[in-house]
Amino acid sequence: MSGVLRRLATGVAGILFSTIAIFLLLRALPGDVATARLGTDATPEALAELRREYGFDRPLVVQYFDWLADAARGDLGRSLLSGTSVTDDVLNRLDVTLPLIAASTALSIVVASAVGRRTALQRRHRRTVATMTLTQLGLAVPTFVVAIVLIMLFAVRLNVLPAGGFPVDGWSAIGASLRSLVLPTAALAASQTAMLARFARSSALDFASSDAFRTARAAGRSRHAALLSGRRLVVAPVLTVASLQVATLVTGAVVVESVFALPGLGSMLVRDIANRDYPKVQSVLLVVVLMVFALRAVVNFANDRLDPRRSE
Amino acid sequence: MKRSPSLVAGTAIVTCLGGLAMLSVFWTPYDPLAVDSAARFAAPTLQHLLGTDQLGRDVLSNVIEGARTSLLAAFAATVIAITIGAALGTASAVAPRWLDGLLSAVVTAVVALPALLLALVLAAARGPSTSTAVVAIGIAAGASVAAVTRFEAAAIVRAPYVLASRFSGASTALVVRRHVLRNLVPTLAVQSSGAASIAIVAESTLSYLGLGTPPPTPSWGRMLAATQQYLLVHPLLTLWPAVFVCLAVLGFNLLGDGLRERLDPTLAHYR
Repeated sequence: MSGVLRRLATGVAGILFSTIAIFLLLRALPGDVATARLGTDATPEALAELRREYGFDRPLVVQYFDWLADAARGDLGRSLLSGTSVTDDVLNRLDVTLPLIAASTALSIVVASAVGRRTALQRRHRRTVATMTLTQLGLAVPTFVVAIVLIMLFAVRLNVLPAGGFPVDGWSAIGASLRSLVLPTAALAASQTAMLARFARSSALDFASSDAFRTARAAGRSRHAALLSGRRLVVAPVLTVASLQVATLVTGAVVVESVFALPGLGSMLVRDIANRDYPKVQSVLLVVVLMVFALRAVVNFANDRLDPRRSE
Repeated sequence: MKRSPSLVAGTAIVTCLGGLAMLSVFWTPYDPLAVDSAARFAAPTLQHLLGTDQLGRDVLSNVIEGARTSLLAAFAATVIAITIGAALGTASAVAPRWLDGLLSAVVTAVVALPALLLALVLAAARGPSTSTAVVAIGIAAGASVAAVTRFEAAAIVRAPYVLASRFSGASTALVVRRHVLRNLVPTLAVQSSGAASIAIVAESTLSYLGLGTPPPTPSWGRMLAATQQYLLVHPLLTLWPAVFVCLAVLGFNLLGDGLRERLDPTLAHYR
């Protein structure tokens, strides 16, 4: 129980620190938000009006705590550009980003664990060497390059899946929505899978040299069945690495959404940064950080269930 | 000592790319920015070994200049990351417990914000530029270096020979200088390799999104973004910068793996 509490406290502290970092980076750096928005030739009156409307004229500390208090009540402020509610914008786009991230996380963990078990059993097999070389290459290919290659293969040459975009009416046509998420999910999961597979392999090899494995073999189980009996121990380290990699995965989603022109949180963030919509960028980044911590908590929880020694 | 294939391959790739980057300072086959509208989309020939792009610029020259952009960014980001990481990690290991706790909390929080996200925020605040990207990548990679360094440094500080040196009157500063930093060098070498590979991915990704190296400086990421629309007709144009990005990352990954195997012979077990 104390383990759960400690993790909760670390999580809250981490989120608070991230909010301070985001706020300071966007506000305290040289350059004034209002001038950036209206341009250097704006009249002083117009600048003052904009500052007052968005509360930029108040002390930084007050602005910070107001932002935090509003966010806690579910109000993420308004866009500087369109004046729309950021909360609505975020909610509209989560139904693309959340499935994308969840599917990639699950896919990479499942595939990596299977690859790790297989390659650990056939140590010097040609297929193992080929797979391990492939993971080394997979680690070297940046996500956006994977995405471009997938588009080229499956959308341009084979023409079996859409090259990008998402149905305008969201999830009402489930088949079309799913089809448009296949390539983005694969692209996002690729380098993650390559990395996790390497950890899964070393963790499976660790188990294969343990007393538990030898005992299972002595009791007459096949190598495969013996390894399977330790699957919890094999998968737990993979989940630990996966929980550390959550942040990388979420930024990967920003990239993938941009390449595939998906109407998600990430592509919105890139556009808002280009438009210098500071209040919106600030709040969307907060949502991204919350997503990172939430997803990490889910993975850690699953890990605790697998390996009860962790939470002691 | 057994020769590590990763180390050999990694060193070879990194040295070749470094050589290309050096070369670009003095010489490229053509001016990478010279536009020749008569020779757009030229196929590879003896004059243009990798052909020309959508504006008739020589692709090989651009790829070579791109190597300089990419490796310079990686080098600068790595220096920042190692400096921050070694300083914070060592400080954490020798500091009183409350300070160690505080530093660890900061490091954990920054690790939660990955390099690319931090770079996006800085690009948002300061406008896209290579130096903004480099600083952001350096800080973010520095956090993970700090986490590893702290672990290693704490083990060194508790080693018997360090205790002996303490008992014979060595100050904390002396212990850090003589024992901790020197023994950290191998760990930091492995970490710099990792930081460099993260930096190359981050720089090319940011440039691809239009938030990194601004035009006209040639950059692999921007070449990819610019040629993507001609993918169907001229796939080679997109292929070259992609191959070089992957090669650079692969080189630094292999170098890091090789160095790690040298450091920790028990890892050979996993091969």
